Amino acid sequence: MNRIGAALLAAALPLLGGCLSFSLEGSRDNLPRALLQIHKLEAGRTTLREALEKLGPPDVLLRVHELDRLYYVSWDSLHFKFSISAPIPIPGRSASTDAFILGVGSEEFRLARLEFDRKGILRYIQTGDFSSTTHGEYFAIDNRIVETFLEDRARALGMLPQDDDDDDLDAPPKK
Amino acid sequence: MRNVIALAAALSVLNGCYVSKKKDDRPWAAEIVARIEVGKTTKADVLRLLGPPKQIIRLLESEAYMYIAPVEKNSGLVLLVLNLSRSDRQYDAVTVIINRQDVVTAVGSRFSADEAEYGPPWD
Repeated sequence: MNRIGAALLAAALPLLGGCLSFSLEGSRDNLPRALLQIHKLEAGRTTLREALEKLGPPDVLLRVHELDRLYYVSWDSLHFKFSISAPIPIPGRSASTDAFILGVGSEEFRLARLEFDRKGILRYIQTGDFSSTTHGEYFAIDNRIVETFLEDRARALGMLPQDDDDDDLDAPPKK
Repeated sequence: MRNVIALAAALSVLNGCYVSKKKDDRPWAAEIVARIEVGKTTKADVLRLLGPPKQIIRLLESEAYMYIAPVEKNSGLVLLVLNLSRSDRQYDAVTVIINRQDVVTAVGSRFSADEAEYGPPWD
């Protein structure tokens, strides 16, 4: 009986291949090397030239009001997903449904933001390590730095107009 | 007979195996970037040495020429219902800051594209 069961299971596995799926996905973007050098910089003293020499080229660079803003980022993630998909029997159409059963994972996002004044002197440094939960929420006490980064990156890529920042021209720089 | 079975098993496993590499632009030699001198090299020199930048960003008192050449390595294994995949993206990049007099005032470079690796997802 056991043999028959094992044979049936072995025969069924290839058939399930198309609709049952366990996936483990790892992803890495950039090394955090520059972020490890941040402690060598000093607000009010370090120049843009020194920062580039010590940290290398930034990942995002843009002008925001009266400051030049630089970002250094690195990303590392690992996700496990278990999902089932099944065909939907609609006559004359090809359709399927996906049932997402389980998803767990971890993400580590490291970011540093440097802001330089018109004279090229470092005015602000902000760094953060952000780990995400399985629900995709950041464990940061204040995640505005991540939100600002995402907005700035979109702006640097030309996805948002530069004028967006004009709304808060009088506001102090975001921290 | 055993060898045939082993070969068939290996073939069925490798059937769902892939590696790929995506490379953007041409990389620049570190020696060429080292020729850029702050206070001496001009915008024309930079363009001659590195070619046109991927992005030019206007800053408060200068402009930044961004040179970026990413390398992305993807690898994966599909075993019936189990999918393992990994992607690693690293960059060669140079940023040159040029003032209004067309002279280089700062330069930063990083050469880590070669450090992109194939491997298991958890690596």
